[in-house]
Amino acid sequence: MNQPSVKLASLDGWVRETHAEEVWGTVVTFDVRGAELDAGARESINEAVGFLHQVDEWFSTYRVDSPITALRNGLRSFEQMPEIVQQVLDNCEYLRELTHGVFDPWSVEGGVDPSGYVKGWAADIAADLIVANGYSNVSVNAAGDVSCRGFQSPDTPWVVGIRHPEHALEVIKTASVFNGAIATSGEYERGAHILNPRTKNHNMALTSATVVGPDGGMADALATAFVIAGAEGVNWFAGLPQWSAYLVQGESAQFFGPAFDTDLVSQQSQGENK
Amino acid sequence: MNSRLSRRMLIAGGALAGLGSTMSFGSAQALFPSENPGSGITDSLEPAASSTPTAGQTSAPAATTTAAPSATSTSAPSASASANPTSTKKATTKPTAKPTATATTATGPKDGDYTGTAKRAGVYGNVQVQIRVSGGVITAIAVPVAPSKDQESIDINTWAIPDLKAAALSSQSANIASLSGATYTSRAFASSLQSALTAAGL
Repeated sequence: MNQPSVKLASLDGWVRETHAEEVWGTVVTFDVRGAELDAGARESINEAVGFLHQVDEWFSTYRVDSPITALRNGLRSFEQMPEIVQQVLDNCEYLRELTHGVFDPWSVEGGVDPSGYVKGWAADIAADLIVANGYSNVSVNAAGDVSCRGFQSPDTPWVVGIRHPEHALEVIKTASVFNGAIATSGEYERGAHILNPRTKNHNMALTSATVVGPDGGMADALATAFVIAGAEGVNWFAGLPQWSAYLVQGESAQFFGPAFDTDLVSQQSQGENK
Repeated sequence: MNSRLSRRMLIAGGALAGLGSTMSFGSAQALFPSENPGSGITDSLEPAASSTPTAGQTSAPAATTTAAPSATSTSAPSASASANPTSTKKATTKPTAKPTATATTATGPKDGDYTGTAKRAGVYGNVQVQIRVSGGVITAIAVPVAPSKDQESIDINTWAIPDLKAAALSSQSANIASLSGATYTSRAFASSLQSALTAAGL
C-alpha cells in the first residue's frame, strides 16, 4: 500500500471519537474531539447518523417512496412536500439565481434533483446536532464535503487537505476551516456525471474546484458550479467576503479568499478563543 | 501591462505563513521591475477597465498599519522601491520578515511570501494580493480580501500555479485532520486517504 504523503494532525493531548457510516451510496465519517469525551459523544454521533438516513428517505431519487421521487414524478406538488424538502428546494433556487443558472437542480433529466446541495447541507446539520449535545469540536466528512466546528486540537482550527485530482493519496493544498464547511467537486472519482445546464453537455471548465465558506450546502453547490463555469465563478462571491475557492485546471491551480490565508485564519480563531 | 502592474502592486516583505499577522510589515517595495517577466499574473491583478488608481483607499489591513500610507498609495516605482527604515521596527518582532533583504534586483525577488496591495479603480475597488515566490518566480497568488459588495466583476482568469505537482510536494509536510475531494463511492472509500485519517490512532 502506498504511503499517504500527508500526516494526521496531532491531537496534542486531546482524544477523539470516530465513526464511518455507509449511507447515500457513499461513506460519511465523523470525528469528535476534546480534552475528554464521555459516552455521550458516541450517542450524539449515533443521533447524527440517524439524521443522515432520514435525509436519504426524504431526498433519495433512488427510493420510490421518497418525497423527492413523488415530486419528480408529478405525483405530489411542491406544496405537498415536507417543510424541510421545501426549504432545501428554496435554498437551491437561491443558489440557481446566485450562479446565474450554472447550479440548476431543475435542469437534469427526470425532474428536480437537489443532491448537489443536500450532501453538504446534511453534513452541516449533522455537525450541529453533535455540537448541540455539548461536543463542540466536530468534523463531519460527507464523502469529501466536510463541515467543521470548533477545533481539531487545542487552539488549532480544523485543517482539511484538498485531494489531488489524479493522485488519491496526495494533497495539493490545505485549508483551515473554522466553523464552516469545505466542499470539492470534480469528475475524477465518478467520471463524467456533471451536466452543464447551459450547454447541455459534459464539457467542464475545471478539473476540480474547492469552495470554503460558512454554509455546507452552499459550498457543495458552488464547488460543482465552479467546475462547470470556471474561474468566472469568483464573481458569485461579490458581497460574500467569507467565501474562498481553490480551482484546479490541468496542472494549474489558483485560489481566492480568506480560507487559504493562514494569518487571517489564525487571527479569526484567536479572536474566538478570547 | 507589466509596467502598470509594477507601479500598482506594492509589496511589503512579510511571511504569509509566519508567526506574525499580516499587520507586521516592513518597507514597501515594488516587486516587479518593468523588465521582470510577470505577464502570467498581470491579468489577474489588473482588469483592463481600471486606469485610475484611487490612492489611500486600500482595505488591506496589512498595508495600512505599518507601511507608510504615502508609500502604498503612490504609483511611482522609485518611491515604492525605497525601503522605509522607520517601518522596519515592527518587523523585528517577526524573525521571518526581512524586508530590507528583499530589495528588488535584476535577478528578481527573493523567495518567500509577499503581501501587497493592488489598487483598482471604479467598480473593482481595492484588492489585497498575496504571492509566493520560489526560485525567483511566482508560484502562487492569492487574493485574501474578498471584494466589496458593490463590485461587479472580479478577474482572476490567469492560472497562477503552473505545476500542480509542485503544490502537492509542498503539501507533503502538511498535518491534516480531514480530506476534501470529489464524491467517492462506498467502494472507493475503503482505499481513500480519508479512510486512513478516520481510522488513524484507533
